[in-house]
Amino acid sequence: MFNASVGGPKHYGSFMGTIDYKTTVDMFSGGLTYLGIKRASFTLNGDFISSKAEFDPINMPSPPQDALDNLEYFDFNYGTVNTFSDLSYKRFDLSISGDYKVGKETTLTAEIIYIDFIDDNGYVYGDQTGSLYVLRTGLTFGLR
Amino acid sequence: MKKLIAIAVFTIIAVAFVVGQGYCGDNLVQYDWGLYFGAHYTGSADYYQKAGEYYRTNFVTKPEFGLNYIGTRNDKILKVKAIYYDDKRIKFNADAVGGDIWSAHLGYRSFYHQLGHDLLENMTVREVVDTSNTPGGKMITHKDLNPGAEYGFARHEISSDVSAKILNKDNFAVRLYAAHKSFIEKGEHQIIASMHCSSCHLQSETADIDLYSHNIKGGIEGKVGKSTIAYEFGYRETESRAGETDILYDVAQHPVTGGAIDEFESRMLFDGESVPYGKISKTDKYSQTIKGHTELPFGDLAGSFTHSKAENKDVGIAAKSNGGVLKFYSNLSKTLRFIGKSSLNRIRNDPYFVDLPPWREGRTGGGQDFDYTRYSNLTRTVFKGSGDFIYRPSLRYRIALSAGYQSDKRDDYPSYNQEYNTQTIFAEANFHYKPSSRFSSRLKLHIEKINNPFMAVGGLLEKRMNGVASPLPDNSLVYYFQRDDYRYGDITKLPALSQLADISIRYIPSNKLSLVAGVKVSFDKNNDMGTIDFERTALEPNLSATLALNPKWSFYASATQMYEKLNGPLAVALMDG
Repeated sequence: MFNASVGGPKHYGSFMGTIDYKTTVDMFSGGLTYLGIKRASFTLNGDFISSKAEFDPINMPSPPQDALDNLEYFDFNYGTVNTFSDLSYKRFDLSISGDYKVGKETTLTAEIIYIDFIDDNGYVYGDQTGSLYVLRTGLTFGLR
Repeated sequence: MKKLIAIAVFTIIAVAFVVGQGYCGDNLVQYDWGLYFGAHYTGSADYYQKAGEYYRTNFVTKPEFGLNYIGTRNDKILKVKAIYYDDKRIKFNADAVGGDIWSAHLGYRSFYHQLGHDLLENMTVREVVDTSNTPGGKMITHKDLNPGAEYGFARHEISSDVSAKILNKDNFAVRLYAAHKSFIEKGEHQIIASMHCSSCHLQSETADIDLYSHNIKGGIEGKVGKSTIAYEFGYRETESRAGETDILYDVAQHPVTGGAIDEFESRMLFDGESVPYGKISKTDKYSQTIKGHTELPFGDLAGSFTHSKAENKDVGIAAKSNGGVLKFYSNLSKTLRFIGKSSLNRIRNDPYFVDLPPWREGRTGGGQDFDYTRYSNLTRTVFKGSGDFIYRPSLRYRIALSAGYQSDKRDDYPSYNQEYNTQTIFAEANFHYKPSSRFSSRLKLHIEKINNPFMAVGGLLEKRMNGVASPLPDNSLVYYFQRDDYRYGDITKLPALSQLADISIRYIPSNKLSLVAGVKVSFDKNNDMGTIDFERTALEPNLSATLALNPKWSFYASATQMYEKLNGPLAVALMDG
């Protein structure tokens, strides 16, 4: 229910501004393969993503005078609303792997995986900055 | 689970039978297999659940196993590939092919997906203090009943298919096929309930995930001379077997004083009681399709008709669809080809009656009946028609021009028996130019004009009620629901005009270097709403290079940017209540 004022309920209609929303995602990817050592191969792969989303500052129109006079709980300040939902993160993926033929049908493999996530504006889920690494190795036996 | 195991066992037997038919009694001509034994160690720092969304940190060494097999005999091939990474990540695929007569597949994949935990910390806000330094009553608070919980689920996927030609004559062939896909998800996730004054208090709780989905299809295809006819049946069911999760709804009361309980609870559906929450409905869907294709003296004609029904078994409502597609292909000359397509689809989604208790029952001026029937805007008739001309005077040039029309006629939007018709016309041009094997380019231009795009009708803004709105009969107050009569203004972020250009160039200056560059630009706008002039601009440039310096070294690199800018309204109702 509405609190009442002169002329009835304290409801003075809507006022509206328009806001611009921008998202930018930059992605870089690269890799190299080296086959220069006999019976061996090496591969390096990397990916980098930078993602940003933000509102421009909001320009709201002037509210009607009777709203200013009677809505004592309103502060009519929208100056920082645009910053509430800023999103910004970076992600870096790197993998280095190599194979070495130990025997005619036996291959030794090794791999390092590294993932780094940098959360510049922790929001909703909190600061999600963190990293993970995986070390793998194994032997493949073949038969023809 | 028993059904899933039964399907898997049946599929393995079917695959083994088919494979056995192909290999039994003969020696393999060629085979190649490999066994892998390995180990991995996973470590992490800080919040690893986002960086390693599909990894599990264990800080101990875990064993890995793998198997790879390829065997061939004449035109028969058997491939088996399996990898065990850990108990939550396993992959297996077996494929057998017997020339163009039969084929069979069995696959299994599992992984673990770590989910985020909404801290709800941004859900804390309260009105500013008034002139007497008393905070206002409009606020948002939150409570997490299981803070620190780590959410996630293991997903298991099983798929199989078999296909066999049971008749294979020169002018007459019949093929039977069947396929199935199932997935199971088990774990825990976060559910968030909103209660008291619709958005005053958010409460987070942990709920089990125990979801099963099975999808089967089967069909028969027949070929007689230059014509084919086919029938396909499909069925899918999805069911959650998770136990019930209850949420305790707050006692309805004045947010500042804690009083006026009788008044506040008379407006609520639930208060001061535990209510099952976040339940996933049991659903199923079946479909039947008949399709055909024939070669006529002046071109090819293809058509299909599909009937489907998707039903929410818990609520008892269903969406039924009947639709047909007709396609015509013709070579008008050696360099000019025409493709015509049209389709008509009728979808009807059951209405649902929402039965609510009388609002503020027993209170002065109360007792309003807010029962309503929800008519779905999915209920609609969709017609599409398009024509493509493809001109290819030589291998160097290809030009394709397309134009089309689409009508989406919704039966009951924005309200019952009110028709909402969205009409779209589009034109598209595609140019390909390849003067040599070292250079090729492509340009696509697309424009769409949309009349009456789908939008939220009449709900964006509110007219002034001060000096206009009257209290309810037998009451001195004006209530929030009366705002519905003062709402106006349409809003959507769907365009009335959409334009797109997409260009890509590939250049190979030498046998060692390959370059690809392109850019996609789109611009959408809608000035027809009467509330805001909507605009959306998107830009997507990309560049990539591959370099093979010598037989020892090779490199690749790529860069892509995706930029989007759009505008929208911030509408605030100037009110105090």
